[in-house]
Amino acid sequence: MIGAGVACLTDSALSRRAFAAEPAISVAAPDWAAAESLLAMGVAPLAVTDTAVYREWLPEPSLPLETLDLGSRAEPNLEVLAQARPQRIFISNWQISLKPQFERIAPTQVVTLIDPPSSPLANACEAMRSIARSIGRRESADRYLAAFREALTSFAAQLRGRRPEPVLVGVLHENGRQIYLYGEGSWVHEILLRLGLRNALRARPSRFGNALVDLAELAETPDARLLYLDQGERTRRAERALARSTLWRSLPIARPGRIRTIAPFYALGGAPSAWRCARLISAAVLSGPAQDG
Amino acid sequence: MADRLRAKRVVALPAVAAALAAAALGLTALTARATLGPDLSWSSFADPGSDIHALVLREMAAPRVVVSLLVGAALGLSGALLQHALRNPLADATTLGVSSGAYLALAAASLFAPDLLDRGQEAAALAGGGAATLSVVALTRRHGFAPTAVILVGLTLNLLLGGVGAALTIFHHDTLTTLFVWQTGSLVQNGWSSVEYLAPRLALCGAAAALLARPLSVLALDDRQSSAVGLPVGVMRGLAVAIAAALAAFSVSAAGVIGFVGLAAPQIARLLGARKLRQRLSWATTFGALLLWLTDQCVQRVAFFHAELPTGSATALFGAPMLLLALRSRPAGREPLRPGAPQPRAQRPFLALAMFGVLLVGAAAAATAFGRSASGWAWLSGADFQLVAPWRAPRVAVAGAAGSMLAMAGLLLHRLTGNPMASPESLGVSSGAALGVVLLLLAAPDFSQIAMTAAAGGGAAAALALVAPTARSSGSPDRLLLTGMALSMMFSAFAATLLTSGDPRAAILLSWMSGSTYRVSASAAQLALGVAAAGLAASLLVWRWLEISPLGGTTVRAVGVPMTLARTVILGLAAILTAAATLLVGPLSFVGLMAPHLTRELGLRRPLEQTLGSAALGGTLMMLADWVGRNMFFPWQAPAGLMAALLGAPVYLWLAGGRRA
Repeated sequence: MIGAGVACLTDSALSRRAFAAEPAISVAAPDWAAAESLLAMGVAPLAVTDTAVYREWLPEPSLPLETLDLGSRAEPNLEVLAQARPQRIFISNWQISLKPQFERIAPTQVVTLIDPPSSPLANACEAMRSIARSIGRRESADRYLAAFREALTSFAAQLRGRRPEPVLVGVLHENGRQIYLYGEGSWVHEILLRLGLRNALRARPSRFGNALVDLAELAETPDARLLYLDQGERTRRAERALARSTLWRSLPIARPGRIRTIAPFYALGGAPSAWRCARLISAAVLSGPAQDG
Repeated sequence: MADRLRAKRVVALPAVAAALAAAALGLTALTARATLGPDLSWSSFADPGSDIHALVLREMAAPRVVVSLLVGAALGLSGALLQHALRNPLADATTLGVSSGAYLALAAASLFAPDLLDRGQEAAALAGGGAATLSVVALTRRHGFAPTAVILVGLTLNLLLGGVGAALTIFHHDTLTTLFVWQTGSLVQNGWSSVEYLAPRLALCGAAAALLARPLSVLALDDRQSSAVGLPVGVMRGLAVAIAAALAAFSVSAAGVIGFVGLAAPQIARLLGARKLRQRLSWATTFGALLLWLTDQCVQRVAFFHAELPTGSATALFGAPMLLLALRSRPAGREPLRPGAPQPRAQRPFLALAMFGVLLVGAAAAATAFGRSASGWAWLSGADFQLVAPWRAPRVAVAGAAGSMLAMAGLLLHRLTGNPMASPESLGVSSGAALGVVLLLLAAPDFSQIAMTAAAGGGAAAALALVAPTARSSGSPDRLLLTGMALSMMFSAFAATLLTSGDPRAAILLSWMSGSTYRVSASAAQLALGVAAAGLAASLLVWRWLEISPLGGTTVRAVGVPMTLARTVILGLAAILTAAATLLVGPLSFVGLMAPHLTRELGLRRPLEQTLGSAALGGTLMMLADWVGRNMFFPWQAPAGLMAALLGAPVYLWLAGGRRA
């Protein structure tokens, strides 16, 4: 059985082994999900957008220092990309309007994660496989995805025996009055179900699988547990604002042991981000008090 | 008769206030009932215990009402003080840029010095609002704070600060929502902390205003007389403006930018018969509080694009048309424009033109060949040129073409109205074009380039049609500019609303609005150059009309040109050029103002010379802006239109403040 910590080791060991292998064709990844899927298969992309924030939100597998920065995700720098002379480019389906431009530099493949009503988790796994096919790394992808499945099963096994707990996962809004929560349409929701937990979000999420809800709505789910992403200073400010709020202090969810920070993950990422999310959530739930009855 | 009239008016003030209060109270009761159910009692409000519904009412709904009253009162009082001190019925914290200054300081602090916000949020807001106020005062002092000069400088400052705010959001995408919360003004509350913050500060400012009321009322006389009475006029005025700015800054730091309440409340008080200063101050405070309470209750009940409309956007959306109406009712011709001292005419205009041409070509070549790459600054050569030029050249070409078009449109409008401050940006024509495109975005999920062009053209033409009647009535060039500014404000409020609605197309809108040349293709570049060339040819055909038109209608008819035809052709040409340029570089660039001005300063006086000179200079300026945008934050790219605005707005401010009123 692979525990949370072991899964992390397996993850990086896998990457190291893959890095040692013969390099595939040179690729660029203006899309972050594609970039991390490539890294997980041991292929370092030549160029990635907004490398600074990427390193913060997608720390594993880590991005090599020599990766070129393409700047904005909405407007990747085409001059830098052209000069890097990639042989293949991976973009996201929300960048599809730029495909004709990218095609002039190298054959461009679109990676689709969010495309309702299809499952984003299945899409993330399929995206990895299709990237692997086009760079001749099929086995690495299959190996990685099999390990991911195994890890999910083992996390779920550790959580079994507890009642299917209602959980909320999200990001605190700086104003201390609202909170972004992940729901149906995001793979965070699917991960919760795979782990045998229940998503306590009641509001209807947006196309991208999240909903901005008022604190008052948290009162509707008194038995839920809240896990929120630690985004550094911004999250600290939100916490200070909440600590001053009488409403927040009287919410059942604010009782000790029911709220917890977890390390940040990128909710629009690929299979590696989903794995990271599963590991963070199961560790956080396991360390909390078990629910009675 | 006079007594009856006065009696009616004395009744009107409390009657209208009571009606507003009743409407707001009714809506508040409805909101409370809808969210919380009917079985809520006072005891559960006083001691909610663990009853969540009662808690929500006590900690969110109730403080929201109190904050809306406090902020509204502060803005109403601030507006009344400003309108009196500057003797300007259009003054208010938003039209003077005080609110935008406070907002931008808070936004910048939240990005670059987040610690500051926990301890000294008000210091940042006060510093920003104060700096904006000081700039307006410094720039308009020479004109004795002439009403229109003050408003023009204030509104331009607004646009400039809005541009800087847009630049911040482009480079900090992940904090976008936080920035917009302040910009659009939200009254959502969690607990009573905002009330505790605002109440003592506003009380202090209110007391100071009450003390000042008596000496201030002397200001209503003109400056010379009040000095004779022996009062330090400057000090009184300065104090009043400072109190008003502080009130606005506190409001922004608690609730974000909420526009036009400060403009409307004193106007309503005056219309209903508040005559004395003390009366006007207290009734403006009352109406401000009631107006914002009512507006805030309305937005809570009406969904806009499936989301609650931010209160600040709502007040701006109804406030901009109010500004337009107020302008219509102002007596015309209060400040006829006097021509500035004639600049010396260039000795050899065609030599100067040849130099402009060389400058244009040289700038195009340099902007294409020199720049930053992953390995540092470099002139492109060999293989790199092959790789990079196909991406860079179309952007340079489009920037140049758009700059030329705006400059030509600016020159046409400037000659036609005889107003050196007229330009597609300052007359709201660019905003009209942009509004057309935004409406298309809302109406149709999918749209083609042709539809976008048509929408932009329609918007520009509509804006011109709105401005043109003002242009015809002689002697009110400043009113023309104010109408344009009101159009721009309305557009920004509309766009901000769309940006906060969570619509995924907001990102496209944001990048286009700020004038990015990122997406242009080689064929679009060819088309842009073609339109610019055709525009130049057309401008050259009408240059004879331009030479005579600033002299006024009669002269034009006397030389045998049908005036209406000439006007229509020139306005139409300006609309087409503006629409095409706005599609390429967005609505906010100021090149259409700068280029004709610089051309004149450099000694080109005749329309033919000015047309050629402006086209060359406008193209050069926009290419420069595009180059700076591509290289300054490499590998990130700042939009050309935004860079041009950041370079151009200070020039506009200097011209608006420095010209002889």
